[in-house]
Amino acid sequence: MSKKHPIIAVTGSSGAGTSSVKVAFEHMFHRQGINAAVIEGDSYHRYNRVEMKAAMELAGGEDRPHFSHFGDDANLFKELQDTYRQYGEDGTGKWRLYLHNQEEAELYSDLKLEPGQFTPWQDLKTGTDLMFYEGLHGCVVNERVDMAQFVDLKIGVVPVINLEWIQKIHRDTSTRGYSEDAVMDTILRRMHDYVHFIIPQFQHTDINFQRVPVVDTSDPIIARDIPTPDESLVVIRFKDPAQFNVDFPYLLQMLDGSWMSRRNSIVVTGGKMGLAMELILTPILQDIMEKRSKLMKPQAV
Amino acid sequence: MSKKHPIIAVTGSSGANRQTVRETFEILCTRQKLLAAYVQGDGFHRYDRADMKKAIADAAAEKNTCFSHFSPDANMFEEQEKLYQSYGDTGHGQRRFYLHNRADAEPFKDLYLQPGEFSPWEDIPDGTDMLVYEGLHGWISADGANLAPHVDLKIGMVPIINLEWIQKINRDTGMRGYSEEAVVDTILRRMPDYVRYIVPQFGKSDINFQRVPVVDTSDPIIANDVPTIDESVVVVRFRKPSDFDVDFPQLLKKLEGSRMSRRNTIVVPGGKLSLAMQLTLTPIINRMMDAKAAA
Repeated sequence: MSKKHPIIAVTGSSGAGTSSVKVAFEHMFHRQGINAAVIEGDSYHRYNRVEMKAAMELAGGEDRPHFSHFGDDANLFKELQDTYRQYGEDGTGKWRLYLHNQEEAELYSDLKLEPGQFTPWQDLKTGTDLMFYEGLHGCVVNERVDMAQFVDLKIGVVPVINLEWIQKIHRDTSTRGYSEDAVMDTILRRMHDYVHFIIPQFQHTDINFQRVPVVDTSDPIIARDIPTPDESLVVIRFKDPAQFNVDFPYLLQMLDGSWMSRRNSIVVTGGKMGLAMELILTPILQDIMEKRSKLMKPQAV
Repeated sequence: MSKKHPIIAVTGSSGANRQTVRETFEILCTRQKLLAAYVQGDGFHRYDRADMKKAIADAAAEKNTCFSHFSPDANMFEEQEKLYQSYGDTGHGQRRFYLHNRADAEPFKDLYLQPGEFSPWEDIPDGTDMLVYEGLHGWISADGANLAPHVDLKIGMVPIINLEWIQKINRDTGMRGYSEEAVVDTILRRMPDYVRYIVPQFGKSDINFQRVPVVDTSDPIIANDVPTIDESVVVVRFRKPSDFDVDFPQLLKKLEGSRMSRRNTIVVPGGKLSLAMQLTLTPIINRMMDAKAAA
């Protein structure tokens, strides 16, 4: 934790709504004039696309069938933790980018980089107000690393598993041309690491946003349409509401159709997810920035 | 399908509110003066508790780590099909029970049967109006068996997976004294067969009841309290509403706090599950009985 150089981590699988959280934060950063050092989880994959393929074949041959992007073998947990620590100490650090597609690679054409490769590590720009992480492994805690201790605001964005399956099946069959069986095999292969590395993070997060569909998802393989926001509810749970002075009556009033389901949980309709995020996160972010500016002032004088 | 001797199957894993369905049928039958022959899926397990343990160990020795009660090899679908066939034809057939615990075993103490064993096969009583199956494989299609064509009404009771895990972890660590790690291993071990054999059945159900928790279940392993029924909503989906003349406006009126989420789907507050079942199933069963009388 660092009041001077705070770190916000949004943890969750892509498609779970991490991008909505990212958009909500971008709005708030823009509105409050915050200069953020944004890092992506993919940058901390251990292997580029070609290497990953080879590593996967090797793992298959060695009877390690669970090897996947979810697990620790395929990621640089230690390096991410070091990035957090370093940034928390003095606001510096290194970053790189994973180039997902041609468009992203285009920007690095002078380095002759291809999609599926990483950019070289480089220094973070100086003078940022906070660090913002978005990815799969924002607060891993296990025998080897403890990222959670360095993160000032930990947000979990988590779909129920049926929904996650629908989304993956939909994406991989329609846009990537895989067969349903092949996608299901991948899902099952990754399940082990999903349960052991992704899920346990959600007990360390300060706020969880969980999208819950209210349409039938009993057979994720045949539920062809991804539930729309209007066909879902969002469960928002605060680990410790007192820590953030959460004003539930205010939230209930502002978010039409919302209700409390537990003393620390509020349910909002799916379409209100973005609004809920901004209502909840704005005061928290302001608080973080106030604490920081109090500490930074003496330096400025 | 049999107009004269209809078969109703309820498929879902234990804990998925199958109990509520059973109670609903009992209420319904009492009220309509109907007699149902209840059949438990567990009775068609191939192995008793001791043999199953051995079978799992044998499978593991042969590198088959997925073997579980979900798998076709652990069940006698051929016997189940025989029952469906003969009940549909004649209203008769054979069933047996798996004795889960001491209370189940008590009535069979003269036969020296222990918990974890099966009762002897017995004839289904005479003069029943319908057969109600309740278990994991109500209309399984695998391993040469194809049960769906025999079933007149297919009801899926399906929790979302996070909830199912919470329930299993809670039950197995609490009542049965297993470690969390061991239960998670079991869940993962059974996953492939769950996906291969249980899940596809829900694609064929006539009606699915899916319980959806509205509390945080993001880490099912630490979510210690199973969400209560009031902390859930229930999604009720009719595969083809016109098949059953479903009267949605009526349902919406009678089920306070309910709403439509898709053209064939209604969402009701969790506490209304039993009422929703009675309201949806009563007219269907009535029509079934009318057809039976006419046949």
